[in-house]
Parts: sequence; C-alpha cells; structure tokens
Amino acid sequence: MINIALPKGRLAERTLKLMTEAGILDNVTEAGRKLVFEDGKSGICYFLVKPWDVPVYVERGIADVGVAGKDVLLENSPDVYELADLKTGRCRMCVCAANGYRDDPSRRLRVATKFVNCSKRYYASLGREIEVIKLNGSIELAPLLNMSDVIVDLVETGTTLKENDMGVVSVIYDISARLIANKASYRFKRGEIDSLTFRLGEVITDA
Amino acid sequence: MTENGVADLKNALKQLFSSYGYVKYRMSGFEEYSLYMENRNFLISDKIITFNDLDGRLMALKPDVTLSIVKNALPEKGIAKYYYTESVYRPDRANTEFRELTQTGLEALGEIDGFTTAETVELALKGLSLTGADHVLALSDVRFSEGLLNKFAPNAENREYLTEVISRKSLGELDDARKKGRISDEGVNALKAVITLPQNASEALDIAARYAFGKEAESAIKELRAIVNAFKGTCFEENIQIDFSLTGNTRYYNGILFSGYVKGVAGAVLKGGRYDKLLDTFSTGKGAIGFALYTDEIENLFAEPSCGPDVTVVYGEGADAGELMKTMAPFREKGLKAVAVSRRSFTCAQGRIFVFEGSTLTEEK
Repeated sequence: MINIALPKGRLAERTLKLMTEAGILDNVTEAGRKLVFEDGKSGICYFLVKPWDVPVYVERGIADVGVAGKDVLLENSPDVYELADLKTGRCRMCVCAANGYRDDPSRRLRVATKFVNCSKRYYASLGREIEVIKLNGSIELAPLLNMSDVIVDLVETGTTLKENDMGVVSVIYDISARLIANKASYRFKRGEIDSLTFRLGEVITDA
Repeated sequence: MTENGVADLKNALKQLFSSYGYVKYRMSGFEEYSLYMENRNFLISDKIITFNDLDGRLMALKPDVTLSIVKNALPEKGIAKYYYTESVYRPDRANTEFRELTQTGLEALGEIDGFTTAETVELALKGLSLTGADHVLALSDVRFSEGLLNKFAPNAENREYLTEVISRKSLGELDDARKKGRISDEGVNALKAVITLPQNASEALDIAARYAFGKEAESAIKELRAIVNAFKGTCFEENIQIDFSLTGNTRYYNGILFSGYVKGVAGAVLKGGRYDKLLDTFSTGKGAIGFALYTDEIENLFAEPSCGPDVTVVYGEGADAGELMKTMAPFREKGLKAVAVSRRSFTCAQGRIFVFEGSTLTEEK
C-alpha cells in the first residue's frame, strides 16, 4: 500500500481527474470531500493537504509520493525525488511591475514576494542587490502602493496583472505540477511507485 | 526494541567494527575553526558553532568527524582503520537551529584496495542489518556521473543543471531541457536510462555500462560490478542497489559513494564513500573510504508508541492512602499502567476511568 499526499484546491481537482483517467482512483467526488481516504480498489491511501505542505509530508515519509507545484519545490528545495512532470497547473514564475516601470540599477531593488528563496537566487544570478519583502498574498498591491519596485509571483493568464495595470518584466521559471517521491519509499516500494508513475505518464498530455 | 534500542545498536556496531580490526578513535569535542573553513565544501552545512578558546584561538564544535580523523590520524604508510561514536553539531533540517547528532562510523585511511572497498560495503550492510529493519544500500560512483556530464554537459551551467536533474531523478525536466537545447537527444536517452535503472544491481550495471563514457567511468562500473559479484549468493545480495542519483562533491570524492536506508525512516541513515581527494589537502598519494551511520535518525524505529495510562483512578479528598494503594495494585499486577489522580488535579481522561470513593471503586462509563 502507498500513501499519496495531494494538494487541496484547484490543483487537487486537476490531479484527481488525472488519477481517475489513469485508472488509479475510482471516485473523484468522494475523494474531494475527505481529508484522508483509502481507495478500496487500489488500496492507496490519500491525504489532502495544503499545497505548500505536500513536500513536507513526502520528505518526512508520511506520504510515499505526492503532487506538488514546481514553485513550492524550487522555493523549499525538499530532499525528494521528482519523478514526473504532470503538465498540469501550468504557469510561470515572473518578475512583474507596474506598466511604465523603469528600473534604476544604481539602487537596491525592493522585491515583494512569497517566493523569498527563488527571488534571492534569481537576483544573485544577476548580481543585483535586493531587499526582499515577504508577503503572503495580494502581492500585486505592493508596487501599486510603492512598498516595492517589483514583485516575483506566479502568472497563469495575466488577468490579475492587467486589471492592476501591471505587466511581466521577465520570466524566471516555467511552473507545473510534479509527482514527487520520498527517497526511502522509492527504494522499498519501487514497484508500486513505478506503476503509478507509468500509469500517470500514459495520460499526461502536453495540452 | 525499547528506548535502549539505539544504545544496543551502538554497542553492536562497536563490536562489529572491532571484530574487523577497526580501532576506536576518541577525539576532542572541538577543533580549530580553520580546519572546517578550509574544507567547508566537504561539510553538509557551512554553519558551525564557534567560540574563542582561552588562548584566543577560534574554535568550533565538531560539525563533522571525518575531517578530524583525517587531520590527526593519517598513517605514514600502510592502512589505518578507525571507528568512532561521536556527537556532531549541525543545523537542523529547517536550518533554523543547531542540533546535536550522534554518528557511529568508520574510516579506513592509507592504501585502499578493492578488498578494503568491498569490506567497507560489507560493514555498511551489516551495520544496517543490525537495525533489524528491512534495509537497502544504494551504491554510486562519482566517476560514472562525471563521465556522463563530461559527455553531455561540457559547460558549467548545463553541468550544474543536469547534476540536479540526475540527483532528483527529474525525468520531467529532460524533455524541457532538450527543447531548450540544453541536452541532445542522445543525452536525454542516456540520462533517462541511468535515472530509471532497475532495482536488481547486476541488471542495473548491465544498463549503466552502455553509458560509461571514458576510462574512469568504465573503471567505476568494473569496480561496482566486482562489489556486486562479491555479495552474490549472500544474504545481502538483494540489499544492494545501484543508483547514480547519489552525488558527491568531486573536489573530495573520487570513487564509490553509498547511501543506506532502513524501512520506516524517511531519509538516508548511512552515508559515505571514497574520498582520496580530501586527503590530497593533507598528504598526497593516500586513499580513504568510510561511512557514518546516523543513529539518531534511527531512534524512531525503536521508540515505543507513546501512550498514557491504561487506567486512571480518580480519588476524592480524604481518601485513605493505604486503601487506595491496595486498590491500585491489582491493575499493575495485570500488567496495566495505572495512575491515581485526585479529583482536584484530574484534567483529562486517559484509558479506563475509575472513581474511588470511601473504599469503593466504580468504573465510569
């Protein structure tokens, strides 16, 4: 039997749909209502947890595998295997600013974000000194109120940016959901994990 | 096993290592900070607890044992074999505070040959088996990985990227890397094969041999095959896996790497490898191989599930102490954990609840 940590929310719906298509999961509706449930058909136990917590459950071996956004993996660098790109939940991690923003490279850049480590890494690679302002939501507000010069955030359709008269300055990473596995579980439950990865692989599309 | 499990394990490891001629190495709790700074890439973390000694020297609480042994006990010639049980001080997993960890391990220093390497692998396997849990020793070799990277990622940026892809088994990244021109089709096929090697060590080596680029990589496969063959037909045959996602700093490691896992523990509990290049910073032409078992990580395997009392007896004010003790005794004779709590200090129910009033005991439903 293997335990799978799935992220609650929109990504959960997409992942559960994918798992149903792959014949791994029987009943999505039932699955959506419970935090922990066991699929009678496959004997697989599922947990629904906060998206940012999925890698924690997997790294600590509570879940053998999980589905996590690449953004969460890049930000927290958990010690897990990243077995497949599920090609769902696609978006981009971008530097964004108010339309008409002009960078002043002579001074320290104020960056509002919830992706502190990704931002530091990105600007370190450019040799740019920054001040990171950690926010947990409504990041777009920071430059509008002149708390930051730019933001680093996920952009899916760009609608929120447009509504706030903002635009993408540069793309840092392409993001999508990843199937991750605990390193010890991968050794002791290889057959089950490989089978799950293979079945998901058959229904993953580039769309 | 109980809480003594870890202590028993440490003793069993000491006996095991002694029986192979390894000598106990006892070291000071501190080293000069410069030792770690000069070799900080060898360490798991460069965060170290430091303090000024009475003579003004900047000292450090050991974050690592191997460096101290290499610095202090490298033999002039021949081979020296040491084992140790020592505390090390490192940041915790969340990198927020320091933790004291206990390591039990061994180091062989000097003239390292194929036999010493195989014997070290045997000791790692036997060490893991002493936990009593299912276990796996994953083997890799930095020379093989270097061959792959030299072939498919000659520039530094791609090299770092593909090292990350291999160590995370990120198959999903490979197609993207191909589209972005970071790796050729041939490279993608090679990395996919290497990342998904089968669990059977011999079969894995047969596949890996097709992707051994250069003499060093070929030597790595040959040596790994010799080790795998040495355990064929033994009780450890199924416990060895080949996994090139194990990577090590090539400034220090120059050959085999190993990582041990036991069922029930989330991460690797044993790490080690061949690190001749570290010795080059102290003395030339000598070899070294060793591993450490992180006994603290195994602690949970032995821990009994924490549980409160089976029976709670709540007594009122003025209860007769002698009568109450007589009342409690039969529960304990039955092997139950029984606790008496005064009504005033009773806060929450644990196990079956009884009320002791006067000389009568009544179970609360």
